[in-house]
Amino acid sequence: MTHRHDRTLKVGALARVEGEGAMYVRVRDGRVEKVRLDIYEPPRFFEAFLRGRAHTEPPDITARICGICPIAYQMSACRAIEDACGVTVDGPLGDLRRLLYCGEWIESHALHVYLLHAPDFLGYPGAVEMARDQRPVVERGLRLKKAGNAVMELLGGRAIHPVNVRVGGFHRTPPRTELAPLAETLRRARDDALATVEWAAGFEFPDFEHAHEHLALVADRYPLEGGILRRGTGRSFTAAEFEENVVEEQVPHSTALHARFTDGGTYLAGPLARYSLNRERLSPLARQAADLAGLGPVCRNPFRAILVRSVEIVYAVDEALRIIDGYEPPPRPAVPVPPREGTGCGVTEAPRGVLYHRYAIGPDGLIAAARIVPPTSQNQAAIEHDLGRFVASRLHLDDHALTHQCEQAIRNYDPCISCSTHFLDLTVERS
Amino acid sequence: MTIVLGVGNDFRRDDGAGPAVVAALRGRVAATLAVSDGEPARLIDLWAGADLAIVVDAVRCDPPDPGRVHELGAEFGGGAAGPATRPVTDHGLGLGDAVALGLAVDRMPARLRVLAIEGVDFGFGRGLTPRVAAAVGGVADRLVAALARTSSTH
Repeated sequence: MTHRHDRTLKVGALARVEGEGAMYVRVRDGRVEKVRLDIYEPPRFFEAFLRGRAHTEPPDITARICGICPIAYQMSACRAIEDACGVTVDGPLGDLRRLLYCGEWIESHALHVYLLHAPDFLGYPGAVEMARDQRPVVERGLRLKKAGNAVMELLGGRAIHPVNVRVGGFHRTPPRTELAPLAETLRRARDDALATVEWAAGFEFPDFEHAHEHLALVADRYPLEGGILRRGTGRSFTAAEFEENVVEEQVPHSTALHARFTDGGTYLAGPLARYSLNRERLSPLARQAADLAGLGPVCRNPFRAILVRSVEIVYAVDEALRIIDGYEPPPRPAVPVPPREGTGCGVTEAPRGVLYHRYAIGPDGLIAAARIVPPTSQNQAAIEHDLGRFVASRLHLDDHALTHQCEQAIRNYDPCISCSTHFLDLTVERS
Repeated sequence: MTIVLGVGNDFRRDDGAGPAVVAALRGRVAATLAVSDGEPARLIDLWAGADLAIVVDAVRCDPPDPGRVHELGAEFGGGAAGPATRPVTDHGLGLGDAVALGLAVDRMPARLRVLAIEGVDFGFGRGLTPRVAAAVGGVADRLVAALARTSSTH
């Protein structure tokens, strides 16, 4: 056990396709002096190279931003373009979009819960080691993930970077007969999802509460593909007012911009915020699962985000089944969205939280400007702040244990697949 | 069932070698063809239960010899141990993770062959470097011939 008053934890990273990150903790005189979550993902210039493209192209181009949540990018892009063009997509087409989004939530959350996060709670270095000991559990996670994949493949055309989404709706919509086998798969997935909540509820969670304001969409139903933005304080604003309420700032150690409210501090988007602001909008089954998991009306413990994600899997499966049961094929796969000069904004709930798009369309019908604010960058400042408080309460741990717990603390926020796997090397500089 | 899986990202230059081989096989073989980003759970879903899975992926070697093709093979009947190899791919999680996870949950093909094409440029953009592009054609031709022999023996 080390009780050194001065130490530096430096954690480097391997280059990943989806991003690069590192952690730096400096302790001086027994106090946490500096905590940085370095994000040095190379600039990707999406906002720049969207300029000059046709107004129909953002869903396909922005889907390439993320291999884990391409639907979120497509949905926010569609909503923003349709907003600019004065078109609303609702009815059966809106339901199909929601169904597709459910598929992405199921797949993304199952990946994080089972393959990335659970090993932390169960004392395994990774999912493979966990699978060797607990094969039925991991098989359940893989089945859930596959069920989400099946939804995305049917409606999106393929699970990675789907091709069937377009501004105004879809290129093709399925007949009822194609959804029937999907319903069978999802009914089995519902049992697996409930078992996931029960399983995760048995984990031990460190006592820790974050101190940030929540930000999530609220809507008639649990938020996925739209709604109004609401802060933990109750104040609400629309997608069009996003940039009046949220400011992004550059910090030297990160290529991801840090976000904060214009009138105050950092905030947290994602499952904890969504759940805490929308618990009453869960389906009865998902609410029951939340009760069984011991989740109260508000959850501020990032370690318990695995429970919230598990409850959200139950909800997404349940909601997908509700949509399939009531599905009537739309009269046409997409509504026309002729280009119109103007600006439109769209916000949806990616698995990791609020995802904002804004597009300006010029008189020639081409994109004149684009702005994309992903959830991971919105959460960076909150993660750093939490990490600092977390470290301060655990300075009695040796470097190895502290680093491991810091990694787990970062994974609580599911920042992205690259950041969430066990990628960290540790260097200790002793003063 | 035989499946050929091209692993990689065709927007990261030579990392697109695997998908390029699959594209070159379309219409030329009877095997199932698929492209994957290499995420382990998706890979094992694709190859589980196959008699033969052929994975074509790009690798980075030091010193590089772009276009050189490495071949690995393993059989998984009767609970045999898998290869300990872990190609240095351009993906966050490697093929080695997929094999380890597939073995742990018993979702492996009966036989797995890995064709790893050495790349040199994994930066942003489309298009393979010349020697990798040439290797892709060669690997595709080899697979067409090999799969024709396989199907004629059944």
